Amino acid sequence: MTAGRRVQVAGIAVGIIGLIAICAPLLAPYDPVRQLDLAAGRALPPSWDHPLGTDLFSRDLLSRLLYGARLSLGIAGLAVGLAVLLGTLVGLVAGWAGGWTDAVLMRAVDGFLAIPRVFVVLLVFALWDAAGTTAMVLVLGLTGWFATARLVRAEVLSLRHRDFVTALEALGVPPTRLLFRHVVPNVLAPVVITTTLGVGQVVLLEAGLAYLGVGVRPPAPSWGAIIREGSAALATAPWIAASAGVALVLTVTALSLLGDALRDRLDPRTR
Amino acid sequence: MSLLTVRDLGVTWSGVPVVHGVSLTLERAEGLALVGASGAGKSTIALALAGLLPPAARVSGAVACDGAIGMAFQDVGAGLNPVMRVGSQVAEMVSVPRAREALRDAGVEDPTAVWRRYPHELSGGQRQRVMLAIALAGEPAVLIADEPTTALDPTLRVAILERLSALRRERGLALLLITHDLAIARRAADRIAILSNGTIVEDGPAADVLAAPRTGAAAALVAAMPRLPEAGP
Amino acid sequence: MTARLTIRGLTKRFGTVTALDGVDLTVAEGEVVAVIGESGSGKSTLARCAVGLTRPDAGAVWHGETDLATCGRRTLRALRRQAPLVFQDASLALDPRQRIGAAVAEARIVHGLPPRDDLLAPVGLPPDLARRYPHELSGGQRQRVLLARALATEPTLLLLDEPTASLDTLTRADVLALLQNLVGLRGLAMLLITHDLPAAAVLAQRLVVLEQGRVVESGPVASLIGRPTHPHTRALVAAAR
Repeated sequence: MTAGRRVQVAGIAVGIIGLIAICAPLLAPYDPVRQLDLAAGRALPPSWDHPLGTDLFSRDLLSRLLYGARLSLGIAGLAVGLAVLLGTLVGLVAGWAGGWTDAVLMRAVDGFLAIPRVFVVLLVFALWDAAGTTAMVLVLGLTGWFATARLVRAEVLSLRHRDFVTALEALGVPPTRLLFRHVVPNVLAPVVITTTLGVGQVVLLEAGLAYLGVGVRPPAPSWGAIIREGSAALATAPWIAASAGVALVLTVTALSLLGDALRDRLDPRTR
Repeated sequence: MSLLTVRDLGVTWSGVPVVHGVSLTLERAEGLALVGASGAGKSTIALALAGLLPPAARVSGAVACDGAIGMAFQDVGAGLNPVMRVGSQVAEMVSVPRAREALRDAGVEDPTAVWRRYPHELSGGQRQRVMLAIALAGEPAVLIADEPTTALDPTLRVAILERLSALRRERGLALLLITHDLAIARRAADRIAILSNGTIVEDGPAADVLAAPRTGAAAALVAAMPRLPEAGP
Repeated sequence: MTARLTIRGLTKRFGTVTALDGVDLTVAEGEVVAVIGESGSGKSTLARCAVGLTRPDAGAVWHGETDLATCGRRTLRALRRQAPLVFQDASLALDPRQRIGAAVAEARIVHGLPPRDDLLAPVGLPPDLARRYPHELSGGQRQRVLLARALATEPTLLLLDEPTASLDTLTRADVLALLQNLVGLRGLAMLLITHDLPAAAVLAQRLVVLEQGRVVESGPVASLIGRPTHPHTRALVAAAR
């Protein structure tokens, strides 16, 4: 398969997942947090009424999964968006300005990179009782921009002294225009790739944290939370954990494949 | 029996004939320049003769050479291993003394000074000479030089072409020089073959082709030849 | 009348290497001057100093009456409009992600000039090429685009750094013809920086020979080529014959 074709296929897959996530309210047959028949509705296997069965609290699993997509992808998307924005800005400034600005910013990045991300999240959620979805987005975003900053800075540095930039300077193009109209578009390709791969990583990270009980508060249907609940009943009701697990794997794989395909598609042309 | 005989050489890339019906001969100590505009197929012929075309290219015709063929590539940047010292690259298939001699043949005055350097530490002219040395190390009977002087300053260009002519005189080396510039051909070759659209359209002694080109392609190249205006009164 | 470009005593050192050592040079209105030099002669540094991309250690550069060293940012920008520097194509002097049409039009936008849609005409390129990207063009076409971009600012002096170096002889002949045309039609002054002596002989009225940062000989083209005095000039002429 050519890189272009793979981008299309993976892109469609991701697009479908994204669409499902957005349209969850329309697609879900039940309210994801509504507990149906408490007596007879617990841990029912898949049936016509409940295509994926119900969980330990008599909630329809399909609906929870659909809303979970929304939640997980939403958190990942916003967090990565924040991280990429921050990282790109810092990288642009550091790469373009050079000198002391660059040195100070990069040493700060080095320092931050030394701090394990997961522990920061755990710390925030341990200390702050009211922490929930917003906190998760903020913390993940604010701890995730360092790699992007480094990447963007490296790209800007290499572009800064390229001949076409010098040629534009000689033409009288002012520095701001040079930066935003010529350097940034050439930096965009690696940023798009890391963003795509980043979303996959954060989805997994958030699910892992939810599995540990950190992050979104119940009864929010984060996939990680569903897996957590389901792991208690793995022998008797395997479909609970399995369905969320499969959804997670499919989503992260699709995102990774898209990121890889984009990397192949975008790189050779620019080089 | 010529030293190098090429009969009806053809190269096809994905069904498209890039080179067809190319025939030429080369004698000992002779210099033949293959001249054509970019895209005419010159490098393809060189690679075909050296047996270096990728499998996707289909080659037809007959090539016979009474001795080894050495090839100096056009893209010196790609032709030299950037992470290997230059001396080791020249000595890759031959003994160290022979490699040193090859460097001297190529015009490097002090092989020892150059030996331990990496390609990026050398000037453009030195890199070109190293490339030539690699081609000459195996003591070939025929040297194919693809645009050996294109990226170089004029005085350096003259020096390298003179070195090649000296090798022809002293060692009987046969030279197949590939270039787009008739001025270079005039300096280094006895005969000129004009390549256009993948085939040879004209060939003959250098002086004849330059003075009286018979084909349109040759005439265009002669007209475009970089030359100084005749000294006025 | 003040010369279009005046360079006096230009000196530039990079660490222990002296790139330029007291270079003097003038280009009058409508005149074509060629600086002939090989690698290491300092010609690229000269080009960069002439348009303010590099600050010299000593000496002065005047465009008309304006001293490059003391002019403000706005004046410098205006100078770059009047005297654009055209780089060699081999260095890929075009933004790979910008379409040709936009690249050429940008020259006018940056200097606040009203847009025009015939910017590719003066260099003999068809208007439909505007939608292409640099990598889709041949070397000769890219060189023409660079020229078109420089001409778009309606300059009075054109500085060209090795305009023929990366071209094969047929394309080179076309580009030289184009440059001759431009000089003739527009009365453009030109500073041509090159090692291609035959090209300089075709285009220039005066030659300045540079060797290791110093001007070793200068004068009218015909006399320099016909009766070169300095050994380096003689070597360059011999190499071109």
